[in-house]
Amino acid sequence: MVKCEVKIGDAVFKNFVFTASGTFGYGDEYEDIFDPALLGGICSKGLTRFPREGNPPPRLTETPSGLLNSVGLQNMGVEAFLEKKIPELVKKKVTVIANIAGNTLEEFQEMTALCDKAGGITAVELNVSCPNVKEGGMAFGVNEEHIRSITAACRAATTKALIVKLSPNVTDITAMAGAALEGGADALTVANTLLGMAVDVDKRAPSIANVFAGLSGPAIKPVALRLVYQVKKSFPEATIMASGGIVSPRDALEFFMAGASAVQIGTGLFRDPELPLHVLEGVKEFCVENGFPSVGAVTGLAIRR
Amino acid sequence: MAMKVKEITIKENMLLTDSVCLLSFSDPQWAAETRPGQFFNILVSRETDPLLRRPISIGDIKGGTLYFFYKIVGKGTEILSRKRKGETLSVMGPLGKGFPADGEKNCLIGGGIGVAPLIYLLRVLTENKKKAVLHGGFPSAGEDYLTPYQDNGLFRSKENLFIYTEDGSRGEKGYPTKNIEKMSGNQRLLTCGPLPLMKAAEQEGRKKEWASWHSLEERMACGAGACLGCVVQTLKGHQLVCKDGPVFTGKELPW
Ligand SMILES: Cc1cc2nc3c(=O)[nH]c(=O)nc-3n(C[C@H](O)[C@H](O)[C@H](O)COP(=O)(O)OP(=O)(O)OC[C@H]3O[C@@H](n4cnc5c(N)ncnc54)[C@H](O)[C@@H]3O)c2cc1C
Ligand SMILES: Cc1cc2nc3c(=O)[nH]c(=O)nc-3n(C[C@H](O)[C@H](O)[C@H](O)COP(=O)(O)O)c2cc1C
Ligand code: FES
Repeated sequence: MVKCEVKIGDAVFKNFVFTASGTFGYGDEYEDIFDPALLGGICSKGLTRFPREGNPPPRLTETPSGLLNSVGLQNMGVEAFLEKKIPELVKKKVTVIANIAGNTLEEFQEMTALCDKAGGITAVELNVSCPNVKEGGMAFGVNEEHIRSITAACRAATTKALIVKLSPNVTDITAMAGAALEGGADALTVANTLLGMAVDVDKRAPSIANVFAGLSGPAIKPVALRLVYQVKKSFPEATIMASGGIVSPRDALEFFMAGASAVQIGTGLFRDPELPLHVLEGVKEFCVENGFPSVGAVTGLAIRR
Repeated sequence: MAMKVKEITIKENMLLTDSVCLLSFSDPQWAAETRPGQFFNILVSRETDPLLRRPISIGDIKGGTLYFFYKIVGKGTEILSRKRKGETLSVMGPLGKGFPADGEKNCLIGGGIGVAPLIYLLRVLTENKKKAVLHGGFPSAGEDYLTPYQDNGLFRSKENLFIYTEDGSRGEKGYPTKNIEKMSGNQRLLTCGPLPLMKAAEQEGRKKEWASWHSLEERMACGAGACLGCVVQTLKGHQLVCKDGPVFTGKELPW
C-alpha cells in the first residue's frame, strides 16, 4: 500500500491529485465520467466577491500543445457558490478548495472569512496570479509586498488551510514564494497560466477578444517544472501543489521529483476527462514498482543540493 | 442521458466531396440516446498537438450506427481524415442540447457543413410523423455531400429535400433562404450554418412569426460546461454553447 495522503496546514487530503481552478467548473460537470470524491480535492472555479460576466468571446485559442484562455473570471460569486453548490458537493463527499480572487485586500479577506464560516470548504486558495482581470490579479501577483499583506490578512481570517497560488509571470518566483510563506501560507500552488497571445493572420487581429490570454497545457510544463524546482530548493519545508501542463502520470512524477507534494490537473482534463484517475493510479503504480512507501518519498528526488 | 467517453472502432471514414468526410461507428447505446443537434468531442490524436478534442455534430443515425460529416479545415480535421476503418478513436458525448423534434411543421435551413446536423433532425421528425423539409445550400455542386450520401430512402427530392447552389450548378441557384417567403402556414424554423445565413433565415421567419432555433458554434475546450470558454452573448447574458446550446431559440439571441 502506497501512502497517498497529503497534509496542508491542519487539513489532510486523501490523496495527491486535485483538479485545477477554472478547468473543472463548479465540481459537478464531470460527474457522469468519474466521482470527484475519489480525488484529493477539487479547486473551485475562481470566485469573486460579486458575480462576474467575464470577458467577451472569443475566449479560447489552441496553440501548439497549449491553450490560450481569457475567461476573465466569469463566476457566480462566492456567496452563490457557498449557498448553491457547496451543499451538493458536501452530500457527495467531495473535498473542496475554494479558489478566490479579490480586487482589493479587503475583498480577499472578506471572501476568506466567508469561506471560513461555511461548512464544506477544506482550504482556501488565493489566486493572486490570474492574468485576466485588468484591475486585479496581475498587480497583486507580481509584487512581494502585496502578496505578503494579502496572505497575512487572509491568514487572520481563517484557521482553514491557506494556499497561495503564485503567478509564473514574475522575475523571481522565490521572492513571491517567500512573501506568501511569511504571510502565513500553508502551501503554495506553483504556478498559473503564462501570459501570452495569438494573432489571426486572416483577420489581421488578435485571436482572443481580450488580446492577452493565459497559456496552459503541455507547452508550459517545462516552465512550471523549473518554478517548482526553484521554490522547493529555496524553501525545502514548503508544501507545493504543482500546476502546469500535466497530461500523464509521468508528467506528474516529474513534478513530484522537482519538489511537488501534490498535483493539479487542468487543461489535460479537456482531452482526457478521466486523467485525474489515470494520474492517481499511474503514480501509485510507479511507487509500488520502485519501492517507494509514499508519494512523499518521491518529492524532491531530482533536486541537486 | 449521461455523457461518456468511449473508445470506438471506425466503421468507415471516407471523402464524400473534395473536403467533406463521412465518419461512422457503431454504438447502439449512443444511437438510442443521441438527439438531433447534439455533438460529440473527438480526440483526433494521442499526441498533445493538436491538444484538444474536436466538436462534431451528430449527422445521422441509422440502425445503431452514428454518422458524422466533417469538413477538413485545419490540422485536427486533416489528421482525422487520415484515420482508417478498424482504427480506434476516443469519443466523448453526447453533448449539449439539441433541436426540438416535436413541432408539426418544420422548415430546416442549412448552409455548407451546417446542413449535417439537419439530416438527423429530418430523419427524427419524419419518423415522428411530422412535416419537415430540408433546404440545404452549398457554394457549388462539388461541395454538395448530400447527393453522394447513402440516405436509406430518407431524402425525397423536391418533396422534403431542396438543394441550392450559389453558382446554380445543382438544384436551385441562390441561397437556401430564398423560398421561405413563399412558404405557408405556421412552421418551426430550424437552422445551422454560417451566421449570415442563420440571420437571414431568422429575419424571414420573424416576418411570419415563426418560432425559431439556431445551432451556434464557438471555439471550445472542454465541451462539458467546465471551462466557461465557449460563451456567446444572449439576451440573458453569457451562455455556454456546449452546455446551454449549441441550439438556441431565435428569441434569446441578440442578432
Ligand atoms: C458544437 C459544434 C459542432 C460542430 N459540428 C461540426 C460538424 O458537424 N462538422 C464539421 O465539419 N465541423 C463542425 N464543427 C466545427 C469543427 O469543430 C471545427 O471545424 C474543427 O474543430 C476544426 O479543427 P481543425 O483542427 O481542423 O482546425 P483548426 O486548425 O483548429 O482551425 C481551423 C479553423 O477552424 C476554426 N475552429 C477551430 N475550432 C473550432 C470550433 N470548435 N468551432 C468553430 N470553429 C473552430 C478556427 O478558428 C480556424 O478558423 C462544430 C463546432 C462546434 C462548436
Ligand atoms: C479555461 C481556464 C480557466 C482558468 N481559470 C482559473 C481561475 O479562475 N483561477 C485560477 O486560479 N486559475 C485558473 N486557471 C489556471 C489553471 O487552474 C491552471 O493553473 C493552469 O491552467 C495551468 O495548468 P494546466 O496546464 O494543467 O491547465 C484556468 C485555466 C484554464 C485553462
Ligand atoms: S467548451 Fe468548456 S464550457 Fe463550453
